Amino acid sequence: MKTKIQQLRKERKISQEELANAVGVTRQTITSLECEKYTASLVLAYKIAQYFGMTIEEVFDFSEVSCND
Amino acid sequence: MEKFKKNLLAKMFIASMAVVLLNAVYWGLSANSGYESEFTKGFGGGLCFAMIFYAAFSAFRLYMVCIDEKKLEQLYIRSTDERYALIREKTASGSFVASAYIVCFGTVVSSFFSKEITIALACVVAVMTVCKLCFKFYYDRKY
Repeated sequence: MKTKIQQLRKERKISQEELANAVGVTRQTITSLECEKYTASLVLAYKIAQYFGMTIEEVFDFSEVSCND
Repeated sequence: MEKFKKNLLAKMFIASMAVVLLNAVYWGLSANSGYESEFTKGFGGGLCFAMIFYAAFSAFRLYMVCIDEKKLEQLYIRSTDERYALIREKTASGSFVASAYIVCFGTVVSSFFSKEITIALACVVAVMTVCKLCFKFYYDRKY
């Protein structure tokens, strides 16, 4: 799933570690999300969107996600 | 977090009990039955002491985590991280650990009675471990 996490992080000058600590996951999970290897759960997507003060749709692109993902 | 800490303390207790149980089984069987051969003596003894050392080290590590809030928080994040949870689920981590412990324990006990069974069980443990590592590597790369 495509995300704007890396772009938003760089705009706000936030490290992966800081974001990971804020949303309660490991840094590797943030890396996987940014590399589009891993699809976040609804709860994690909500926490990340909230952290950036945006909606889930603004951070995550659901257009190419299938039910199997 | 309190529930997680209680869970860790329970794991620490189980690890400590494992140390006591393994020592009791090893020294009890050594005194009462003796080994099947010199080969199984070294093999069974080595495996048993490796398990004792691992259980004691786990108990000590969990104790250190329980008294350090920062380490506790880091372990909590790692344990509840959804990506790690998915990898653990895909590699059947829980059932692997339980099976590995049971087969290792069986290997130690069988070393007192049968060389063939000891070798067979040791091979099972080795193959299980290699498969587990391969799956873990694969899913680590995938997610």
